[in-house]
Amino acid sequence: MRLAFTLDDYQRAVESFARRLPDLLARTSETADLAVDVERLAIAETLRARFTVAVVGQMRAGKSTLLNALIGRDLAPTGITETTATVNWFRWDPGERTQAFRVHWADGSEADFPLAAIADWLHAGAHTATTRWLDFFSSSAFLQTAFLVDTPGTRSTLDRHEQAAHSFVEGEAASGRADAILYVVNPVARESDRDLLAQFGDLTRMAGASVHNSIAVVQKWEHLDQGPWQSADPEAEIARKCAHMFEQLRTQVAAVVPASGMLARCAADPANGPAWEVLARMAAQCDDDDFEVLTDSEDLFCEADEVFAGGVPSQLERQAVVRQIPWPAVRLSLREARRRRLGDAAALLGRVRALSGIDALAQLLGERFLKQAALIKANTVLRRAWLPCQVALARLGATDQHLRDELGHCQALRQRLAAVADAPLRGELDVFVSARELELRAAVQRVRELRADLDQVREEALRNHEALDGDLRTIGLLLETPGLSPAERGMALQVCGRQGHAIASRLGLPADAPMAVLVETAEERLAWAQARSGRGARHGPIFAHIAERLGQMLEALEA
Amino acid sequence: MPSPTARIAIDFGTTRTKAAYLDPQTGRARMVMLGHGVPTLPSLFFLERGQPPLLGYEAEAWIEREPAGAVRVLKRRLREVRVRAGRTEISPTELLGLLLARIRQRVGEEVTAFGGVMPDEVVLTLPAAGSGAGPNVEKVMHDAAKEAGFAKVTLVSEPEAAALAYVRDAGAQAPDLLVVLDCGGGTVDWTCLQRREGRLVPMTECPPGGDDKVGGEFVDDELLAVVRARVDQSGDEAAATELERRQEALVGHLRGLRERFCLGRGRQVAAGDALHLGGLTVALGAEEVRLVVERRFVDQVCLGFGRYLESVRRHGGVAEPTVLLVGGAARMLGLREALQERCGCRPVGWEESDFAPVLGAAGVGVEGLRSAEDPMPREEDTVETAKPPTQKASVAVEEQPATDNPEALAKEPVIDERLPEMVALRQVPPQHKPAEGDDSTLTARASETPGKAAPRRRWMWIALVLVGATLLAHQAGRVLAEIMARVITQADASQTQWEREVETSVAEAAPAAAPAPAVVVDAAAAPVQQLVPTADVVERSVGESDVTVVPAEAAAPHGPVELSDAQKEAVKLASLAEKASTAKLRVLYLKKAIEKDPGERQYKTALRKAEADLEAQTPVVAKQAPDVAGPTVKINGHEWQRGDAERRMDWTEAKAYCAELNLAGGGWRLPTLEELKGLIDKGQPTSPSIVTALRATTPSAFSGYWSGAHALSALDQAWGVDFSWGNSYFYDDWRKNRVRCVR
Repeated sequence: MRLAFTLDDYQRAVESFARRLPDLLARTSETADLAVDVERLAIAETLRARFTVAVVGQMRAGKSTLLNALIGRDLAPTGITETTATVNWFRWDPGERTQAFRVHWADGSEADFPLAAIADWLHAGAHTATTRWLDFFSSSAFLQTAFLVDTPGTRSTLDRHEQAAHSFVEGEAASGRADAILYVVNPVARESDRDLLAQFGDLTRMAGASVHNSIAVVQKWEHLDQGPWQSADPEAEIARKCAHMFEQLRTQVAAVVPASGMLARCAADPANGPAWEVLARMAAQCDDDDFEVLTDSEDLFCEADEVFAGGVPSQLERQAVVRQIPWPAVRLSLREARRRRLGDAAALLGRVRALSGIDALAQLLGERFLKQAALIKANTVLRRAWLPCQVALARLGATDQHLRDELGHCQALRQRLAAVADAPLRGELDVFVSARELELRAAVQRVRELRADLDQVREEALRNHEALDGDLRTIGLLLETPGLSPAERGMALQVCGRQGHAIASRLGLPADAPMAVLVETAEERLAWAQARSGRGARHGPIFAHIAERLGQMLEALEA
Repeated sequence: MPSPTARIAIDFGTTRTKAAYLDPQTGRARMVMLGHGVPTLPSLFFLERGQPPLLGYEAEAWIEREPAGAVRVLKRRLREVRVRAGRTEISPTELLGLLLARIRQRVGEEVTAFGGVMPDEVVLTLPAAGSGAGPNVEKVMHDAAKEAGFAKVTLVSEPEAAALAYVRDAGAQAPDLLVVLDCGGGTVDWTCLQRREGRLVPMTECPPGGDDKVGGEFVDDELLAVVRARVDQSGDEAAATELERRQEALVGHLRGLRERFCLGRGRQVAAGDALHLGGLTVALGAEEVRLVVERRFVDQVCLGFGRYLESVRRHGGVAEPTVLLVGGAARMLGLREALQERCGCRPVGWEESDFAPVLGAAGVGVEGLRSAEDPMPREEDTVETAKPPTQKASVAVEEQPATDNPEALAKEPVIDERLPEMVALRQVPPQHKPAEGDDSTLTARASETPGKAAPRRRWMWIALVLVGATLLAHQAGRVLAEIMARVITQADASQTQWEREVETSVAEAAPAAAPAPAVVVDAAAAPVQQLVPTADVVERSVGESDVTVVPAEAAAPHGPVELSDAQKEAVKLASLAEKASTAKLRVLYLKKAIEKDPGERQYKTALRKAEADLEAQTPVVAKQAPDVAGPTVKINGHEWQRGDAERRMDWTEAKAYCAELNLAGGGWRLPTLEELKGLIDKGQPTSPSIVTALRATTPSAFSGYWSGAHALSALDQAWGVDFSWGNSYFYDDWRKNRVRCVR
């Protein structure tokens, strides 16, 4: 069996698995219907389509706000209620189309509308029921690498929203499928968060595979203003919170990160400049008592000038601030500015932008999703083709069993016939039984061959998947596990393909290294990894994978 | 009369190998002691150039010294052409053949039931799914067994063998549909079996699956990681060195600890279980072990298996299929309970479930159900074994010894509280035709699926908002109505967009901010205080919710330089308040100070804090709705507090509150999550989504109630249900939620 070491090889292997599957399945009547299922998966199209990240979550979690923050433009409509009613795609476009959106009607036709007309597609608007999906366009850099999809919230009070979101997550939506998801949660996680994530994972990942295609984002945390939040450093507090959530969701998401679309949008809006000036000045100049009053609540913040001792900007200025910037963001920035003694607006703005976590999120998406896009796509395809394959094997197993039982009956019958010397119609019966036996033998043979072929194809795909998935998981472990020497860590990362996926790169050798050197290096490293991979050894699981990979490389080199 | 047996069943596991045979004397399957007093042999091999391979305990001993020579998890590598260790390589067939030959020889020499002769027939188990399954693996196993000298080879799938063991042991009729959850050392597998033509075959619509990243070994490795972290923390170098030297043995020690802990159902870890490393003693706490087991095992199994069970329910049309919990890791602490709670199934275990596959395999062909025969039948094999299966089956049942003696059975250590049911099952007279057996046990357990929640209407909510606005307008004047109108009509899109979002999300994210108002009140509360020009504190009640409107006084300018007498007095009162020993006093002083000097903001801020403190200290009295018959109400077989506790409290307080509640006698507690969820009624036309009996005494917003269940994997979060719309959450336990006790 040839194992893939590069992503391209893996993609090819998965593609060939998916392509061969329908032919194999069409060979017997027991499995012919499954061939149709596999063909319907449109494997080739899926692999070619642009990488797509879906933003999903429960209603009012702030999905559209986060999406706007990532695009850097208020394109997705946001609002007080469950605003998003349709599945909305955000595609890259360099210019002309960015002032309009495209409606894909339920009857298959499409039409462009100016952005201002969007109200009819929000909440329970007039056109939501007759629309399949909407396309928005932007020249944002982010969209150049991946499309984004905004979905209506789950746990919606509107059944239609719920259905739209679920059919999208399940990949049944007419508009297309998601390769990865950003799962937006409020700081209070709900029971159903786990369910939805598990559902997505089930459809895009093999059981037990690493979770590199989902990330959970904790949004709206700036609203928290009780318990430990009042006093603690908000950044540390939200980090602690995320670590906790990660513990709960670690089998479903690769990371839990905080982000605030609202803070990001506030910081990005040039119209807010004066407001930041006022806030920075206020934080730097007012006395402690005034500060306490100012951060107590929005109404106290807007109190008359007489209440404050001095150094507090005028009531008019303060009222202007809360008109520009939502109160939770005002309070948070005031506290941050004071704690960190940020004197000027630029420093405060930078701090708010950092607190919003939006740049860190974009970077994480780049690393976790976009760099592995080919792998994630291939895994999704594999996962989808997997079930029909397994069902086929189970059916063939049952058929095999059944045929062999029949064969047993035939043979027993023949023996009994042989025992009775003068049975009537003996000759005819003999002929009949023998013919039946031959027929059954041929059928058993056919089923057995198909089973073996399917098994072979499936196993090949699975091996390839496990090897590359193991690489990813091990790289993750290597990066976060302390206590490894830099040399060992570097060598281990190399084997996992961090420096390039070809065998020579994995062994830290130039591409034109002679075979003998490759083999020798691989053998040396194998002994090194095996010595460290014992049960219970520190970093045992890491080195077990490294050893396995090196063994596979040796096999490939010898072949 | 009993003649020696010539057949052995072998379960070649990922981590351990087991063997069993049918005792001709008793007719029962018995384990072979492959180790010293233990029925298992490590599935380990040790290779060294120029030496014959070592296996089992010998290999284990060598691997400790020379890890590079190890071949582990051979079961998952059977398809490979060759396996390597260091610079040596060998074919998997050969290696497996050696192991099988060793067992064959040992059994012939040491087990009396074989009459001193090596068995010539073997039943091998193989998984139903994963890398260790499939026709190509079957061939390897078959060839290996032949190499080991077995003349006849029968292969049976592990889940099927386990099901056979259950059917035999429980004396029960095999149900039409059976799910086997096999928890091993290195994998967890699930298979749904269907009875077809007297045989249990995998249900094709739900092909067998599993997770090979979860199992007993992963838990033990994690426990060692915990120990290692402790050692690292201590900085004790001698201990660290010893840890590295003895790691393989320590894993074994921790496995023992974990198994004892799980058998003791988590009550304690005995003092003798501490590890001594150099001069350092490391003792793991019960809570630590429990957490590792939960995170590394229970959570993951429930997740994967839960999805599988769902598809079984969907395709099999059975609401509650029988789930057999088998395998060495099946007794993992909390697994049974979690499966019950999270997957909604009642797993069945019995005294032999640890070794069910191999024990079941020992009886293959003799049981009421047939199993897979040799998959590669040569002419001679097939002729020899092909007896009419129906005949075989009925004979087997008739000859079966009387195992349905309830007295004898009651003595057996049956796991959990299912004993009476098991005995009842066994008392069912044996059926002569398994294919036509009754499935009453199955249908009796089938329960109806709950009805679908009725769709919610958005306009209802808006109507509520409007009603609230009208009511408030009555109290607070025209200005307020204007604000409400602005919020509702969403007039100014660009400017109020944020505002709107903020308001709703604050309403959602910070429910503890106000005592118990309706949604609308809270959303508008802030602007009210800012804009309503009245001087007095107004307390009114709207509907059932207590709404306190604390408007600001007239914005009368006061002298910025000279303090008036009243103001001086206020300062004095405020300083008294600072020094006051109790929150109650502080509130009193501050209120007086505000009377004297209504313009001073700081007093109000301080008063707010003092009032919050006071509230936190106030003893709790159960609130009773005026128009209900009694303080308690019976729902779903439990007695509930009709009204809830008068204030909201954090989780710890809530627990204490219930324990101390003296309402119609004691015995109160926080409800379990399931009990609390049982009160949800999504069919209600408006919020709160709670059963009608409690609607009058449950607020429609900020209606989060505590359950007594700590959320999984996090020590400072607990489950609760928000009845506003009937969702369950895990809340931080410092959060103030409502409390309704149950008994």
